[in-house]
Amino acid sequence: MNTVLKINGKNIDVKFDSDEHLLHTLRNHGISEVKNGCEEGECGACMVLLDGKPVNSCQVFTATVHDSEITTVKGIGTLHEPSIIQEAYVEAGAVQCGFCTPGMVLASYALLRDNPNPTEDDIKRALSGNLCRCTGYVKIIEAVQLAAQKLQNT
Amino acid sequence: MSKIKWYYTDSLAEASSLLREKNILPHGGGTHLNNIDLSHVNGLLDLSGLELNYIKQDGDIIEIGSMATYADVIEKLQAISPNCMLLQTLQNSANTPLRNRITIGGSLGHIPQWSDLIGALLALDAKVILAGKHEGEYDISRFWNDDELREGSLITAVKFKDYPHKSYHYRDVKTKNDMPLFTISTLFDMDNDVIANTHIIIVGTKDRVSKIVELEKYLTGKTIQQLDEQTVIDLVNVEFVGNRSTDNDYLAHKTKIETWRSIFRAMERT
Repeated sequence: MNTVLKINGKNIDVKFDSDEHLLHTLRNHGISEVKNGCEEGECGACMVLLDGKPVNSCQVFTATVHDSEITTVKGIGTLHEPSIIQEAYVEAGAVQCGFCTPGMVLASYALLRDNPNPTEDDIKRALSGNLCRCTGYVKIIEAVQLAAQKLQNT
Repeated sequence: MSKIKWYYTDSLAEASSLLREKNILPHGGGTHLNNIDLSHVNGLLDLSGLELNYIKQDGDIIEIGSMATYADVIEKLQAISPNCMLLQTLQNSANTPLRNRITIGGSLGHIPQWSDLIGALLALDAKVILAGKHEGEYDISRFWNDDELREGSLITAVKFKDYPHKSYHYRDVKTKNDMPLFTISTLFDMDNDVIANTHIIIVGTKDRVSKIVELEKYLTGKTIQQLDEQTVIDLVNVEFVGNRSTDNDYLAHKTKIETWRSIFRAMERT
C-alpha cells in the first residue's frame, strides 16, 4: 500500500504492508527517533503525536492514518534548537540511557500545551504510558516541573 | 499476522452491509485488533470515515458515539457530568496514550476479561445502539448476555441516564497501569441519607461479570450507619478460575473486603 504521511510538517510518500503498524512504517522511512520498545502499547518508547494527541505508534495500523499530522520528538525541537522541554530534561539530568526520552518529551509537550501549570499528579498521569527502564522517574518529573516554570517565564 | 484487506466507507449503511455479508471486522482505531491473529478474517473495516465520534447530552440522557475514545469521553464528562461513574472509571483505565486510542465501541465489542467499561455501563443501566443485522436499541445486560447480537452488528453508540449518584470504581491491580484482576463498580442512588437503589457489579469473575443481587437487596433502604460489615462480606460470593498470577480463593476473599470498602469510598465521593 502507498500513502502520503504528514510528518513534522513535511509530506512524505511511504510504502507499507497492509498489516504494518505506524512504528515500523516510520522507522522504515528513516524516522528513527521513534523507538521500538515493547510493541504492545505498554512502554511509550514509540510515542508520536497523532493530530496532537500522544499515541503509541505500535498500536496504530498505518492503513488507518489518513490526513493526520504526525509529530515526532524532532518536530518540537532539534539538536541545535531544542525546545524548552528538551532543555529542561537536560538541565534536570532526566536523561539516562535516553531510550524513553523521545516519548517522555512528547508526553510532556502534550501535557504542558494543555495544562501549563500541572501538579505532580497531573504529570504522573500524563506520563503514565511512558516507562523508563532506568527508573529515572524522579528526575523526569522534576524536568517537567522545570519546563513548566520556564514556559511560564517566557 | 496475515496480510489484511482494508475496507473504507463513510456510509453507515455500507458499513452495516459489509459487516453482515462478509467476514469482516470493524476497526475503530483502538488496540485490540493490533494484538490478535487476524488470519481468520476477510478484512478490516476502517470506521474512521463514519461520524460516530461524538458525545451529546439531550436532557438527562448522555449519548456517546462508538468512535469516541476514552480520552474524548473523559474530557466531555468533566464538563457536563463531573460526578458520573463512567468518568472515574475511564480516568483510571489504561494509560494516557492508550486512552487516546481505545474507543467505547471497540471496548464494548470485544469486552476483555479485564474490561473496566462493562461494569460501569451495567451499573448505569446503559443502552447499546446497534446498526446492521440487529439494528435497534438494547439494554446493556441483554447485549452482554446475547452473543448473537454482536454478530453482523455495528455498535454505533451507548447512552445512559445521567442522574445524581454516588459511585466508586475499584480496580484490583498490582501496579497502577496493570490490567485489573477484577473490578468492582459500586453505584448508589440516594434519597437523602438512604440508599434508594444500588448496583454492585464485579467483573473478572468465573462468570466474567457478577451482579451481587443479594447485597443490592440488603443495602437498599438503609443508611450507611445501618450497614453491618459481616453481613456485607457474607453476601459477596463470587468465584475465580484460571488465574495464573494469583490464588483464586484469595481473589474471592479480596472481593468481599474491597466491596465493603468500596461502599464507603462511594459515599465519601462528592
